[in-house]
Amino acid sequence: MKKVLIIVCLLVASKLAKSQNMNWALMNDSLNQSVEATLSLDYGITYGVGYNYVFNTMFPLALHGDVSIPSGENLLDDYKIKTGAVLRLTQIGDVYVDAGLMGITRSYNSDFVRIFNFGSEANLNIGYYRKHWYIGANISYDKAIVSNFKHTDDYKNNYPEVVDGWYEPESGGNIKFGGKVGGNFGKNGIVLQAGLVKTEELNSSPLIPFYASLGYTYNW
Amino acid sequence: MQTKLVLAGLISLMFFGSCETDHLLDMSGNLVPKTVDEDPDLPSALVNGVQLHAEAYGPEDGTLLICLHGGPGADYRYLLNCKELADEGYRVVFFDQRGTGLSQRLPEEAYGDDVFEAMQLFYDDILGIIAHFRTSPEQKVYILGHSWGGMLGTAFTAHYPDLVEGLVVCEPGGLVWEDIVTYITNSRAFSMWGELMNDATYMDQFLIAEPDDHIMLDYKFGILGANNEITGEDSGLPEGFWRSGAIANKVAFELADVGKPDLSEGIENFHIPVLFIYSEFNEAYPDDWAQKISSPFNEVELFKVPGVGHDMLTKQAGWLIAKPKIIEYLNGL
Repeated sequence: MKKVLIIVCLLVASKLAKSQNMNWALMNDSLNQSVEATLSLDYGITYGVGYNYVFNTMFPLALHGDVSIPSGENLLDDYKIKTGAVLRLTQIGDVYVDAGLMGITRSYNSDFVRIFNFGSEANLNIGYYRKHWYIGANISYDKAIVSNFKHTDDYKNNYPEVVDGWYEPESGGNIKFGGKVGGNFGKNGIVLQAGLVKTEELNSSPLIPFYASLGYTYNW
Repeated sequence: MQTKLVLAGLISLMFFGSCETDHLLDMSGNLVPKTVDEDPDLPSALVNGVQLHAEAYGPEDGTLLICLHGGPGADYRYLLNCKELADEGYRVVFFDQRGTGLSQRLPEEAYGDDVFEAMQLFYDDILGIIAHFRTSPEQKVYILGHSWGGMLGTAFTAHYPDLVEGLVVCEPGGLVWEDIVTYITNSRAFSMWGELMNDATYMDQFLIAEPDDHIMLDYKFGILGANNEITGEDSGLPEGFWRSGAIANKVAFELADVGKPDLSEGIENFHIPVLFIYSEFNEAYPDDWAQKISSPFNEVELFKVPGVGHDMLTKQAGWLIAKPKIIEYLNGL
C-alpha cells in the first residue's frame, strides 16, 4: 500500500511543478512555479513531494510547501508537513543569498506512543546559480516547539502514571550544515543535497548524524 | 507598516511561540518513572557509592538467589516471576543494575575507562548487594542471570568461583565478544527501509536529548520496544519493564566494542554444575548455538523451554515450564 501511495505522489508531483531546491537563475515571470519529488535520508529514509510559487518582486519570495513520509511497513503513521516562505535577500552577480522560515507539523507513532509536534525551521542559503546548474551551501535550524504525547495501552500497562498531553519546554532543536548541487534541463531539474546534523548544543548528534536527498523538480 | 507588524508578529509566534502546555519534559515522573534517589518510597540499597533499586523476597536467612536482569539497560521487573522461588525457602534478591531501571542515574564516566573497569564495577555492585542482604557469612549465594544478566552472572562467577555455589544462565547472547556480536546481528532484522529503523530514528528530529539528559534518553530508548519475531519476544508485555537505562546500554556496548572481553575467562575454575536454559522460539538461539555458548562450563545441563522465545521467564507459558526445572536444579545443589 505504501508503494502505491509513493507512486501516486510521484505521478502527482510530475504533473505539477520547485523550492528550497530552487534555481533562482531559472525563475522568472514566465517560469515561477515548480514541484519536486524527493528521496531522502532525513532521520530515516523518507519520500516527499513539494510545491513552490515564486513572486518576482524587488525581493523575490517563494512560497513553499512539502509533505514527507518515512519508509516502513505502517503507511502514514509518521509524517512531516512543512509550509513557509523563502526570501531572496540579495544577488551579487550569479551569487544569491536567501533565507527561509517554515512551520512544521509532524507525527510519530510507535507501539508505545503517538507524538504530534509543532516546530519551525529557519534556514540561510548561499549559492552560485547559472541557468543550467547551481551549487550552494546552507545552514538550517529546526526547533521542536511543543509536542503532544498520547501513550498506548502497551506503555500504560507498564507505566500507568504516564502523563499524556502537551509538553513544554521546547524538546530541543537540531542544526543542519550542508551543501547542494543541482542541474536543470529544460523545465526539469535534479538536485543532490547532503550535510551533517547536530543538536543545538553542538555536542551530540541524532542516531543518523547526516542527511542526504535526491530530488527531481519540474518548473513551469 | 501595520501589515508588516502583523506579519512580523505572526512569524515570531510561529518560530518562538507555543501552545499553552501543561507538562514539563524534563520532570521525572511524567514520561518515565522516578528513580530511587527521587522517590524515597522505593526500596533501595546504597551499594558501592550508588543508590540501587533493590528488594528481596523469602526468609532472610535463606540461600541468596541473586537475579541479574538483561540489557544492559533493562531492569528486573520482567524477572519478578522468580520471586515465587521464595516459596522454596530461597532469599530471592532483585536489583536494577547501576544507571538503569529505577536505580540512580550516573554520567558516562561512572562506568570506568575501559570494559574491564566497567565489569569490575558491575562485580562490585553485585558484591555490595550480597553484603547488603546477607545475614551471615555461611549464607550460600546462587546466581540466576537472563540474557546480559547471564553473561554478567557467568563473568562474576568466573571471578569469584569460591563465592558462588550455584549458577542458572538463561540465553546469554554469547560469552566472548565475537559471539555476542554474531548473536546481536542474528537476532535483529534492522532494515534501513523498515518500520523498526524509522521508529528508532524519526523521533530524533523533535525528541532531542543532550548527552546528560537521562529522562529523554531513557524515554527514547524505552519507546523503541517492539515485538521481535526473530527472538520470539514481546517487549510490550504488561509490567514488563520500569525504565530503560540508555547511558548504561550505550557505554557498555561502546566499552565492550573496544575491549572485546571474554566473559568466560576463569569459568574453568568453577566446578559446580550449571543450568543453562534457552528457548524454542528464539531463532537466533538454535541447539548448536546453545551448545557452543555453554561449552566453556565444566559441567552444564542444557534445558530448552518449548513454546516461548527469549522472554521465557516472563511469559507464564515459559515460566511454568522453567520454574520446576530451576527448583529441581537449585534443590539439587
